[in-house]
Amino acid sequence: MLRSVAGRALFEQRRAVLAWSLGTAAMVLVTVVYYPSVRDNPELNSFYESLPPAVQALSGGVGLDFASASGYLTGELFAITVPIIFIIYGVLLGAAAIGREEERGTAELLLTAPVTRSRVVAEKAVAAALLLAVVGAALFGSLVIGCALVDLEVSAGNLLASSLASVLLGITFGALALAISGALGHRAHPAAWAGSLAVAAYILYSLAPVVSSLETWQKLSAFYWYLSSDPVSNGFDAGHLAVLAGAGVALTALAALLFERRDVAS
Amino acid sequence: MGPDAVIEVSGLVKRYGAFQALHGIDLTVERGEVFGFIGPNGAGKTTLIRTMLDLIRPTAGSVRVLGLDSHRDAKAIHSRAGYVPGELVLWDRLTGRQALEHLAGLRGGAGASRIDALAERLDVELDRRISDLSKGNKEKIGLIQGFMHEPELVVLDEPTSGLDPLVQQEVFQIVDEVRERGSTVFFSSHHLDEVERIAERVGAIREGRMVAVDTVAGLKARAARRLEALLAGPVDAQEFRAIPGVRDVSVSGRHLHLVLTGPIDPVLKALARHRVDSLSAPEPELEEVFLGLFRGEGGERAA
Repeated sequence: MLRSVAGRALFEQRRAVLAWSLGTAAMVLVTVVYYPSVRDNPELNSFYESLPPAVQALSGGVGLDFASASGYLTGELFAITVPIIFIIYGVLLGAAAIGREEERGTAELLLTAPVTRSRVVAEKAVAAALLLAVVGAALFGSLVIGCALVDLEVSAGNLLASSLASVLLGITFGALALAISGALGHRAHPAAWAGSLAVAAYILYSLAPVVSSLETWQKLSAFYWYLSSDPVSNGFDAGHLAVLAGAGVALTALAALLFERRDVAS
Repeated sequence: MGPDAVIEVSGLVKRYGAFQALHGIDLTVERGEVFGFIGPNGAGKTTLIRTMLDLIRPTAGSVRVLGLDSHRDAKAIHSRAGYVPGELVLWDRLTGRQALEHLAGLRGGAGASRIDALAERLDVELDRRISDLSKGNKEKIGLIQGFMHEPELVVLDEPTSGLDPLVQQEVFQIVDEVRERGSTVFFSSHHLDEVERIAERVGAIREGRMVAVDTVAGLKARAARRLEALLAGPVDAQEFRAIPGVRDVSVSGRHLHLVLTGPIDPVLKALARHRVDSLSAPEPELEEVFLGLFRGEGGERAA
């Protein structure tokens, strides 16, 4: 396990990833078991419909039907809560991958071992992707169990597609944090930058339906590729998932390229 | 620079914005020698070492290690070198053994089999978490990882600062063994007695410039030494002031006192014309040599 950079990254996170997974599963179960009472309470839905479109846009989506199974899961979980979890964990992992080794001083021994800097970046990125996938598996598993408990009818395939999209969204913003720390080091506050850019991306995507000038720009937002195909209702959209994965790979490659070129902080 | 040079630094400049850390360093370390690298804090010792190991990149000039380019061939250099950083930090969440097995793993397993023997020699507990270890014990783990894979070159950046004297002796012993095996040791320090104990040649750096590179004996020989003589009769100071390499001549009665920066032979020849009752010219302490160098006296300072 400790023979490689990726192995150590996984080993060091073994307790943290368990906590993230259990926390995610608990949140999902608590949310899902409330579905019957929302479904059987039409006032809630008419209240949501009475909100101004901009408020709806930022609270899950314009015209979302909370009484439908897929509308409930999208609005309550996949529009905001689940992305927050995956983005935070992804950004923490991405910012720490190089940044923490450098900040603590462990980079001195790591980078004077016969392992190239690109290799270190790649192994850390793979480890982070695997850790996010573990949390994604907990998300998927708890959705399947929760939906079965309350007869919430969304196919396992669609739940898997939505969970995979969430993992890929976390990978995208984690890779963004990795690229910032690869380029500039921990002193540039990669987690703060990547986190704020994620919030900006969320606002850009979700306000686009109500602010027409944003409409042409929303494809710049990772949230567009994460949510606009409505994976809870429609399942896998290979093109959208590929854009998120591609962004993660490209940002990781950029991180390696820029980290190779600069001095390691002491 | 011969084919046997293990470290070849030429014209190395390192600049951080407006601050220049290294002003054109030239240095050659031959295979099989123990080279002491000495200088005050902030003189550029760690900057040079981190450049040799490709943690930082030269602004100008070149560094070759084991005949390879320090940047382009960094991976090959790293697999043949060992490094004990001055400010050693290990992964807090691992035990000492886990950290060492990790580092051995990154070397394809090289050195894993020597971990226990070295830990026993240095008397360090391997199965405790690193965050629970004292500074001295962490440094011992740093030493183990620097030597365990029997590298051709070991770079030590002030390795004994946190160690008790018994362990320091053990470190010197290990360095001696490494040298006997034919490896090269580059040893930075600001303890002169330590450098004198283990190094054959010494390089002194001050404000980013090499001020001297010589053998320990050579450095002492070029240092100013005091000479005192008690003569049987009065003596003329002028007779000694004329000798090249002699300064600060003073005579009081039968006592002659002078400072010698050149060869001693002409002074002895001059003294031989008198009857000498006693003579003393103690060998200078290495420390005095360096105090002189670091104040900017003597040495071969490049303008």
